[in-house]
Amino acid sequence: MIVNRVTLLGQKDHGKSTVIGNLLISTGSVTPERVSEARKISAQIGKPFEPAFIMDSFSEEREQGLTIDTTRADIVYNSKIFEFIDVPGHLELLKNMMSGASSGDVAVVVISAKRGEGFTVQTRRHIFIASMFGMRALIVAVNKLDYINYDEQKFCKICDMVKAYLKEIGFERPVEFVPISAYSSENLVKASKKMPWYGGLPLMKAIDMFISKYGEVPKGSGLRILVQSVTESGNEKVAFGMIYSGSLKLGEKLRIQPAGALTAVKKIYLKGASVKAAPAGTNVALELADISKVARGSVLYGAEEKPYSMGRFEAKVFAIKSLHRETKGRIHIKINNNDVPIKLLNVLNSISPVNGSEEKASTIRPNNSGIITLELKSKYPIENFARCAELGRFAIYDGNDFLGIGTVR
Amino acid sequence: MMEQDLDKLEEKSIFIIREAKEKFGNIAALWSMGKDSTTMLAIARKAFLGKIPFPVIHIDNGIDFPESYKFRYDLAKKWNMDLIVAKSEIRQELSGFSCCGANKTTALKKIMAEYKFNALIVSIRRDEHGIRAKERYFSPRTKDFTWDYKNQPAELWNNYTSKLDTKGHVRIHPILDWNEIDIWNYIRENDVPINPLYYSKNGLRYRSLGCTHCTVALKSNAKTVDQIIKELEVTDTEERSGRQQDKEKEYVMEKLRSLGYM
Repeated sequence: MIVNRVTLLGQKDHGKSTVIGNLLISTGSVTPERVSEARKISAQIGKPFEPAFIMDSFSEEREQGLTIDTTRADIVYNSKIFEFIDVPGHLELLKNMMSGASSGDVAVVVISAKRGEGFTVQTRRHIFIASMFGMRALIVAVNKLDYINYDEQKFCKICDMVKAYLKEIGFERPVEFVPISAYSSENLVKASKKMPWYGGLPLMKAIDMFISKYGEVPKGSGLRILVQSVTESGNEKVAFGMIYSGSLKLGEKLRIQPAGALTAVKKIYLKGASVKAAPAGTNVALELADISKVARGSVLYGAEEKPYSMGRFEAKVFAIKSLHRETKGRIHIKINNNDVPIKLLNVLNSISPVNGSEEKASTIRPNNSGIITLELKSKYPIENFARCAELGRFAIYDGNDFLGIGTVR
Repeated sequence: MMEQDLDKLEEKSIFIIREAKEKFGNIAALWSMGKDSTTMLAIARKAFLGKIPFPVIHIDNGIDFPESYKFRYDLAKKWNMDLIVAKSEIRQELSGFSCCGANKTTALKKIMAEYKFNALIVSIRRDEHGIRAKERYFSPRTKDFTWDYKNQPAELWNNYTSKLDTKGHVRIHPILDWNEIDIWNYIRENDVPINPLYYSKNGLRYRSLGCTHCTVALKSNAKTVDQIIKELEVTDTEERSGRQQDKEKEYVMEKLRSLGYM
């Protein structure tokens, strides 16, 4: 069975945790015990029942009514498991939002239709980041329809704003719009009687339909194995690695990058047993004809395959802290958990995540996007993000200080 | 509850365990002798071609069930574990928060300092508790074991926290994605040896194991792994409902974890 991952996006207080909380309850995916705990705590702090408390478990989150860090919960629906990823909506918590949103395939953005809330700057940033991460489809859940008397016109107005925005940032994947009231469970699992003008699916059905259509895509055919370590096993040295794409067969010729040398597969161990072949997504242990050029961080390609770059490339970034020209080798990218120092970073332009506008710039300000060129200090195999996501995405750090994320163009 | 794809869960766990072993020179794993940490060790054996490549720590408060001690002895021998028993002091007057907090965590601190471990594999799962659902796969702890949960590091894809400037350690959570039912299905498919306390005796069994002082058995006739799985498929109680430290008072788990509890 595939994992159906759904990321919730959107501004704080627009109802992400409430959507998940009430979906968990209406689908029977939480025990009554956990619901009554949330009920008890709501009463204790003098609030009406808050379904979001099923997700927001920290005392601070409940008392202050916000999500501090990302969390996940499984919802069982239509005999499938959907893993919902909740993320914080605050600007200062964008780093936690990214940590959650980096693993989703299909996203639901929750936008409050309540007066004074609407389609905000922060919600736009969330959509922008998720689209950089490779989100394949987007469901726009327009929430709090109860505050606007379930008015179709007002709902459509928000939809039009979102459509215009998605055009501005060049998001061309499938999009669906669903009106809901999360707090009162209107149109979450069952079609709502309060919105007879809405002819589409209720939220959970729409998610199910979207995931089965656009969820997991097959991995590309070119062989790529990330080497985690080379260790002694008995008298033989073996390489531990994860097959990112393609499939590996005994005897296959491999090119070791960045060393460039050729070798062949002598033995494949999968889950501890010796096998003849291994598919994408598995962790293998390999005996090779010549392992001397293989090290942690090496990527093993099929003999005919080549990396896109080993040291200089262009990338789209989203900055959490300001990014500008760097030449000192002080900052580094973190890719597949390897720190590779940056010899040269040049900013080409900056892109506004609020309206997609681009301008020439030498600095990318915090919470903004842009295009940079990077030159690495040592060789590291890099791919186009679209061709092999695992080798085409990275984080940028200054020591332990997180500066932002990037995807290779 | 429905089961997830066991193959995928296992692959991710293998990746995490191998990554942790490679990134941290001095790593150990906690083993409570419960189903989760035993399953994690079974996965580690597969990842490292039959041998668990790091020491295994059991925090022994001397009041575990006799069945557990026999299980510990047998499996440590069978799997050729490098077992470290961390004796924890038990004071009769303490229970729940003070017991788990003061005794277990203190014993662990002592062992971590003595062996200078900089990483510790802990087999917690997201579905066990709302607080545990907030965890990263690699989660830093300070020198005095505190968890700065309000300011966790970014964790993008497989870019895990693998370096520390402090004298603390990193908690590694390889089975964070697993649910209770997945553990049992894995045990069934892989014949993982399991602590006999999970099986029903005189109409009672344990669903989650702590020590004799704060673990309560539940009514059950499940005497085999198959029967346990059947039981879980229809249950509507929480896995840890027999565990005192989860309820005693609101936020006990949060306090325990921020102070260094597992």
